[in-house]
Amino acid sequence: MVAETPVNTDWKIEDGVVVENGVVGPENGDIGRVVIEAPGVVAAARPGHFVMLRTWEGEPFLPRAMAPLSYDVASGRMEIFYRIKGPGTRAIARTHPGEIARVTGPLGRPVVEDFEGRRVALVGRGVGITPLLPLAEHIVAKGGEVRAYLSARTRDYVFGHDRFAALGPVRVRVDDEDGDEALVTDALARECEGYRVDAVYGCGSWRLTRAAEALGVSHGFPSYVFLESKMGCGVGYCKGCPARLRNGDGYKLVCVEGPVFPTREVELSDPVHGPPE
Amino acid sequence: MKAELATDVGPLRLKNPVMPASGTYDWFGRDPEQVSADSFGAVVTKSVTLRPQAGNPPIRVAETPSGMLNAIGIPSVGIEEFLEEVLPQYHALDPPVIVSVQAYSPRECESMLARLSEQPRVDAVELNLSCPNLAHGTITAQSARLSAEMVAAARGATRLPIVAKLSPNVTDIAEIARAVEEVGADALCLINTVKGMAVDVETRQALLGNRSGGLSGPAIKPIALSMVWECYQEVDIPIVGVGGIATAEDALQFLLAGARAVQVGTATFREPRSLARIIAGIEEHLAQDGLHSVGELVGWCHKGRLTVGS
Ligand SMILES: Cc1cc2nc3c(=O)[nH]c(=O)nc-3n(C[C@H](O)[C@H](O)[C@H](O)COP(=O)(O)OP(=O)(O)OC[C@H]3O[C@@H](n4cnc5c(N)ncnc54)[C@H](O)[C@@H]3O)c2cc1C
Ligand SMILES: Cc1cc2nc3c(=O)[nH]c(=O)nc-3n(C[C@H](O)[C@H](O)[C@H](O)COP(=O)(O)O)c2cc1C
Ligand code: FES
Repeated sequence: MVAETPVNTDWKIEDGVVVENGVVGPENGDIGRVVIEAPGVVAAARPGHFVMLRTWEGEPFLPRAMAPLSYDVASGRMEIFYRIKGPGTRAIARTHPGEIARVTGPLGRPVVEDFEGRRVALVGRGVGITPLLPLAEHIVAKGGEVRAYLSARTRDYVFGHDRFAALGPVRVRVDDEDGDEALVTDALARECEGYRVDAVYGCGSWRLTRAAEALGVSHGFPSYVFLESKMGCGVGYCKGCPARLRNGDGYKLVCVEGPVFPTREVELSDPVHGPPE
Repeated sequence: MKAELATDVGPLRLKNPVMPASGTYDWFGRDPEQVSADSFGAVVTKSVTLRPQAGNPPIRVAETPSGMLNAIGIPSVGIEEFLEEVLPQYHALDPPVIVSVQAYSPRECESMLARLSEQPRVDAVELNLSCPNLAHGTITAQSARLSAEMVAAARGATRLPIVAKLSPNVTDIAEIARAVEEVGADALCLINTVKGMAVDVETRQALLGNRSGGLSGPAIKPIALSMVWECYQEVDIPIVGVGGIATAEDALQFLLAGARAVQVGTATFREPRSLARIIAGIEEHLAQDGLHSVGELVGWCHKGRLTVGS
């Protein structure tokens, strides 16, 4: 495979430690938060990066890809939110502080654009909100402006809300209060009228990312998406994480050529549940 | 005294008996320090095809108890771009380079091997026979005759060592092994993935984009071991064992069953340091048992029980 820019081979495998782990929000909720100390990976992480995480011995066999909400270089810790769904995330949920967490990373291509003077909209839903916070911090540090448009089932799941709010305006829409008809991108649509947006990044919802892309097309700004895919290795070895290219021209690998792609390049649809309705 | 890890696979001299399985490791011109392909016994490329192909639609991988299913479909840049862009990067590596070739007909095989023979840094070829034979509409590796035709075509086109990689999805593996030995294969690689599938209850459909796929990982180790053991008795050419190896102990089991070297695939996805750990673990075991070389272990199963104290 010949990539346009070199494949990221600057990752390491670190035997980190679980520092905190627990369910977020309602007691029997399905969202967990785990804090892992892995200073080597944390120090090298940039926005757009992800990690492969394995906090268990035995089954399941493969690690899970995770995009941390934050990396704290001072403490060497990363904070991950996970939706408890299948065997991998159930295994993470069973982990206790003090146990080993194998972390491979940082993986993927970081977002390295120059953000000085740029106004960026971030659109995220559920656990898909998390990779947007490192990006938001980076943009502001580089002299850009961010506005976050966050969506979730309930307020408890608007991860990092206050930290986004410290960086710029935040619009929130949650299903249990606002219903699931209106989209958080409706707010972006209104604000685009009086405010210049230079780029939008979407994550965690095909519907919202498609809506954000449509706004980009009508207002003339580029849109990007953080893609997910079932991953075998996360490092480019297995070729198991294809993103379907939009022109029908084959695939790119999410783990080494992404996870962030310009939306014009890739299909914005669920590989399991089919093309956009 | 340090034990000798070096081993021969036919004409190939390896500094240790551990290499990655095709399609489960890639050299991108650099490596993380913890992986370090320079420490491998050999490097095996992802299978390359004559013409470029995109691979299968998603989903390409699914997890199973103790392993995984894959239906990657061999995305390939095609042999010409491979020779121009990919292979030159391997010049930087110290271990022998084994290029895995997937040909859909003996003619394709011939023309790819002719091109590979002209290259300075190809040390051997591995023929991935577990693919459809376009002329016959069946899987090459499932027929002794088609497998022999493919290997014979390769033999006619190159003097490079030829490793024939066989499929476990057959009734009698020894019959295929004998057929490819007869037409000049230098070594066998046993085994490729075991055919399997996964069903998604939510969509009520096959989970993999290609519907069925290949099972790999610890789940298939017993199958691979028995095929190595059986072929060791039936053929004289050396065997490279592969299938579910995740630890040094797994690797030792393959050596004892008759493999002269081993490949590690799916275990790398779980733990990218697997090869390094397996190499170190084999060395430790040899020293512990007071053995001088890996070769002493090869095929021990067939010699009878090791009595305690002997
Ligand atoms: C770059 C990246 C970052 C990620 N970040 C996070 C994160 O921060 N937090 C988080 O919770 N998750 C994240 N994920 C998803 C995560 O890697 C796991 O896939 C997910 O958590 C499910 O794992 P599991 O073990 O619970 O369930 P699994 O058993 O692996 O999957 C649960 C169900 O989903 C289905 N499924 C598996 N793969 C896919 C697929 N590709 N598309 C649709 N359905 C599929 C399975 O068939 C199964 O029914 C990320 C993925 C990627 C690629
Ligand atoms: C993701 C993946 C891709 C593979 N690609 C190839 C390939 O291109 N050519 C080939 O001969 N075998 C391929 N294989 C098979 C492996 O080389 C190996 O024979 C098999 O996986 C069993 O070993 P393991 O259990 O250690 O993985 C692939 C296996 C996996 C899991
Ligand atoms: S997950 Fe293995 S290549 Fe992307």
